[in-house]
Amino acid sequence: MVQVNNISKSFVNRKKKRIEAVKNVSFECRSGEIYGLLGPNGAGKTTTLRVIATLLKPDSGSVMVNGLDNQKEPDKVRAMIGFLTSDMKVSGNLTGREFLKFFGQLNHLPDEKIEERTKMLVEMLEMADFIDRSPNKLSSGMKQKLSIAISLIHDPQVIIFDEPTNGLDIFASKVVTDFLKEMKRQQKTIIISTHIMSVAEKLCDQLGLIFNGQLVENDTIENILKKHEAAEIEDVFFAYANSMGVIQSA
Amino acid sequence: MLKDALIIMTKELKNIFRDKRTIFATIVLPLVLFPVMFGIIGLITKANEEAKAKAEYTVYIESTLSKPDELTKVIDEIHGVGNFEIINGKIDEEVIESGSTTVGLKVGKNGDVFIATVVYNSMKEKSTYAAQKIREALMNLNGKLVSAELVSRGINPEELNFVQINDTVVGVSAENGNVEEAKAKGQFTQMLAMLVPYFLLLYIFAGSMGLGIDTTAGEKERGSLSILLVNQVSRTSIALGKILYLMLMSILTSVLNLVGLIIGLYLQMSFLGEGNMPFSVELDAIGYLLLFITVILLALISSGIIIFVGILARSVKEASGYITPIYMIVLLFGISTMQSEGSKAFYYYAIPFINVIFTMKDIFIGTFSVANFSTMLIVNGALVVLFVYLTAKIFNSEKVLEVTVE
Repeated sequence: MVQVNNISKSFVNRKKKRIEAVKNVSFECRSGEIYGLLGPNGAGKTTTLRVIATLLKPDSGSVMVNGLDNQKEPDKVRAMIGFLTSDMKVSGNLTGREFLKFFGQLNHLPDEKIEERTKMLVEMLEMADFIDRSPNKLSSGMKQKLSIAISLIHDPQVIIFDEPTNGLDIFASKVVTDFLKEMKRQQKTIIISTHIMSVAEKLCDQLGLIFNGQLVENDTIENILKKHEAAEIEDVFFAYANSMGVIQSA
Repeated sequence: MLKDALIIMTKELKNIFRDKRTIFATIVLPLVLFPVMFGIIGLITKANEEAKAKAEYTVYIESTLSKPDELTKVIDEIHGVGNFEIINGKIDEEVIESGSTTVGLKVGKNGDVFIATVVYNSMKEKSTYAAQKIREALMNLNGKLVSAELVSRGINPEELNFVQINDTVVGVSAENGNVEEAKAKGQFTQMLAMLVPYFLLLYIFAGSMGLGIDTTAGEKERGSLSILLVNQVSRTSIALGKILYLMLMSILTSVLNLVGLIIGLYLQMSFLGEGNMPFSVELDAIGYLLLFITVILLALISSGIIIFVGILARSVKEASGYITPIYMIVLLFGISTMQSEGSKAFYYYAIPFINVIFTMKDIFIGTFSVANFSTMLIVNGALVVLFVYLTAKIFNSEKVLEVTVE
């Protein structure tokens, strides 16, 4: 279970201006659930996920992962988390299989366990055709599948994926969404961010709508739709975008 | 911690040796480039020297000598040093200026002294060579005239040597105490003490710059660094793993460059007929061990600095901008100490990079001191620990990520 308690995070940009990326965000995601953070670009989704994954320290608030404070025990929390961020790119001359072995070793897995996990992930993510090729020779969809496999080599209980289907074609996207459903079935705690509403609607049990660093909705999709008397999440999303002055350039 | 660092180092090495361009640039090129380059230079120089020696030269002699046999003596000496065609007559400077193998000699006498003026074009190699040969001929003539004069006065020229100098070379062993061999070995050791520290410094730093920036700022740019950071590996292990990887690569490139350079120099000397220089060093097993430790420390410091600066920078361009001035300083250290001998004042061994150069010189020349070596060891060891600590600190901070607000 992941509990995000009132976290805020700000940055100072190159012009020395302080930018509040995340403001007092709270939500929780239980085991066997998928929580989706839905928001436009620059809303604070990646920053929130990076704070949960211990890559960033919040200015205030806390994150508990399976009862552990992620700031006080980051190493133990990292062992429980599989994190994939949109700017992670696998590159280099090792093959996909060698990458999985390398990250398995860094997670202190025995060789047999690495082999077992590799076999399982290759099968589930349909990577057999390219697992022995280097990432330099892979398409973006193949690279994304490899990145997912790398993030999950240690079989973490908590899965945090930032824009997992971003840039994927329809087939690769389906493999990833099916994979996440399977992980949910295996009682994993899953938090994803996305700006694709169909992905959020199809996958998520709970949804957080985030605009300008603020979580404006945090409920089940059904309850959000009922509250706004809307037919689709898209309607709610654009209603907030208009009311909060978020203008998206095409 | 060390186990994780070794896993990272191994992965980086595996990654780099899969890249054909890197293998070519790191291993093949240094071993081929220097021998080919110096070999070609040697061949060209040899061919040039041979061409100059074989060429036919024309000497215009403008003589005011009254006795014909005096001019004959001059001409005979000139014929003795090369292939010269002699033309007696007035020297036309325009002819000498336009011709490549033409020189002039004005010769006369003031009392008993021959007064000679060589006219040549210093812009032209063959003309300069011919002028040099004519000077040589005139000096030969001078020697003969001096000897004849001494003999005419009843003095044996051989008896005029009042000082006889013999050499005993110490510190260098030679077969049956052969002095010439010992001298040659000593010269070779001096050359090594001058060149090896300089080139090692140069190649260890320069050879690791590109790779170091690529594995830090380059990985940041490519987004592959954050994958490492969300794993269970400690930041110190990441820093140490990358420094160890860079250290090995820098040692490999510098040693290969040095081997290539020595082969190249040997080839060049062989082509020029100077290939008798002994390729042996007066070092025992301990000497080699001390040298090895010194080189490792040099590579560790260089790698530590490069990894630290690379991880501090936000991009490859920024990292290059930071590292280039440091490289210039290191280069300056190398050039300024190249001609110096070993065994400097104690504080020299407390200055990073300079201490490594002098320690290597000491080891080669045999002026090694435990106190100086220990100072170098402590200073450089502390510096390596400091850079690992600082790099790990940056890995722990949010600076390591290119933070973009999403």
